[in-house]
Amino acid sequence: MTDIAATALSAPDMPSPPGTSAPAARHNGALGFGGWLSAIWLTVITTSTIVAPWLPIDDPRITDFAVPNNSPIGKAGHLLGTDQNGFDIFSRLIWGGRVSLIVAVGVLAIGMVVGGSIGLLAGFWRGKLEILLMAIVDIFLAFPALILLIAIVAFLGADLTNVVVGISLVSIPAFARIARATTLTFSQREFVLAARAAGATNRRIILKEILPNVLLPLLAFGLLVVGIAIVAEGSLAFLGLTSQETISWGGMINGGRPALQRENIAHTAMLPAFVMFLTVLAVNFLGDRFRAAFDVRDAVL
Amino acid sequence: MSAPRSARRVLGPAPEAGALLDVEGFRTHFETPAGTVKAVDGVSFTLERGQTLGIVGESGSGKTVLARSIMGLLTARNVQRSGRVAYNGQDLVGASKQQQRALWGTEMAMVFQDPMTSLNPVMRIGRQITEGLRYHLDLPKGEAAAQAVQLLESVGIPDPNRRINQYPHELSGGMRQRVTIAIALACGPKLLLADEPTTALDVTVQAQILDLLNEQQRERHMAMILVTHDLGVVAGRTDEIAVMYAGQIVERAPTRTLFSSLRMPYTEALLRSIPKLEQPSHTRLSIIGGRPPDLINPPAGCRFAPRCPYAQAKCHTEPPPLVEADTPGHVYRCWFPVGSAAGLEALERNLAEHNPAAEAAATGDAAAAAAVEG
Repeated sequence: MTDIAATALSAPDMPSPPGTSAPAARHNGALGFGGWLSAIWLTVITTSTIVAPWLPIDDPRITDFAVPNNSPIGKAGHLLGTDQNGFDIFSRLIWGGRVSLIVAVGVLAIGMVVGGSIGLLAGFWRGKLEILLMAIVDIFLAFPALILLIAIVAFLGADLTNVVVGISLVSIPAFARIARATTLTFSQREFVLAARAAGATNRRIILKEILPNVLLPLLAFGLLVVGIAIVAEGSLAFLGLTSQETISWGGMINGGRPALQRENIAHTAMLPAFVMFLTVLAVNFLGDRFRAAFDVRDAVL
Repeated sequence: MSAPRSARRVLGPAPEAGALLDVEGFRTHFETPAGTVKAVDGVSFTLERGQTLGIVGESGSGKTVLARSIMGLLTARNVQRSGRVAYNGQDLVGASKQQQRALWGTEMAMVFQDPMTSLNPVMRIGRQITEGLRYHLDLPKGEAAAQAVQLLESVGIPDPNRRINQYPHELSGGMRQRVTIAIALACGPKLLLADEPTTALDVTVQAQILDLLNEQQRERHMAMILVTHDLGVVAGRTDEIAVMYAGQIVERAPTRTLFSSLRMPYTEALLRSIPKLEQPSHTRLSIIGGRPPDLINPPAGCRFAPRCPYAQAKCHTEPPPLVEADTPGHVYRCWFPVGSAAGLEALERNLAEHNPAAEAAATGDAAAAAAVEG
């Protein structure tokens, strides 16, 4: 888990050239079977976590004393059993999804806005500004992402806001580099010169000509980051860097670990791990399909 | 908009006296670590309202840099412009960015070489046209859209109502170039700079695009600078032609004069390298041996001398000035001009000495052309 987060957050510098990475048959705009499955899974997860307070499920913070702790799947009215505290696992999975959703949306928003702006400005203005901004970005990239993340969260305190800010902070450099690389290629294109020849100001050129072109690769990369962010949040919770009141998948895995080791009871740790695995897989799969299907730029033709 | 323009045509000469564009001793230099690249080095010409000037030259002769830097589009920090460019009496070289931007789009516009890259791939055609209209002319959304449809229709795009909602990749190359022309024309500029507008296009489409440019120019009484490397392109469509070589204008004349009594050996060489229909098939294409000179350290004498079939010792040491020919408006830079006794003598002497450039010119021999240094 930790390796994925560390490598993938720091790796991509250049976006893959549009259209070269996916076979031509994928450009028909269809999601395909796997794509639809992913979309359905993500829709189910998203809606259920949003409407969780109104769902007819057990309170995730109330211990059921009627059944033994770590009771197996399907026993005594608990669809997926109970965990080491006697909490309903099914209910906690749904409530734990909230944290993942907040982390995903928060990191995507902050990373794209801040990282995208840094990259756009650096790529468009070049010169000293670019050197300064990119030096900061490179310094951030030089830290191992997870270590930096742990340091940030340990320093600021382990509540959800700080987790989101921390993960955003380590993802901003990657967003910035992609935005800058794409801006560099697009600001050399003739349509930018054409816009300038038509009297457009630099602000107009950045916002109307370059930004829409940079947004697509940035969003495609953003979906990849969502997967990594969910895993990263899980890693932090697994390491105990989360408040005890927060229900999260990573925390559930961590909580189920003693039972797995001592009593060979697998489901308390494995169920949240499996849900997290499916979610990240779906996000990545959809991200890939998204890039292939919506990358309708002329280089593709 | 069109009313005052047609009135002006009826009244004869424009009320504003003087040329639309007056370029005098214009230089564009690039500071590079290797030295100063003199991409445009002392260019002078004037362009009257409604007239067309063709700028011809091979790759690297500075014609594109000239067109772009007249407009002031080269914004890199290492660009240095000097000399005089007056648009409608207003100086452009010393003008501020804001003053220049005020002219772009509304007074002067540009059509670029490659329609594949000069349109924004993620913006609908309609919006790319209306952007300028709404920005410069403050037209409301609906009115701008209506005018975009009209513009597309006037540049010969069928079914414009459907096209405005399409993206550039849904259009063919010729169609896209028509769209870029429509964008350039949108705000009614008085000067259109067309930078190799047909080079990236199919031969069959080239003529259509050139006809379109001419037709629009006539209708709008707009001056045009047509930059190209193909003398054939400018032959029937310009009032005047300027031939550029190594950053300088080496010959300038009214189109008819240039083709009937050219003086500059470089123009002759360019003309000779156009394949002719009456030649039998498999005739070897005539080429100009050698390469254009280094613009950081141009040759001391005539810049074309190393490749010139007429070149004499004098040509290598003394740069020829721009002199006037017998016919009015015809200027050239040459010590031994084509068609003169001195030129003929120079060519014969070079042939006798087996000068490779002269032999290549006389025989069209590719091997001799390959031996030309320069």
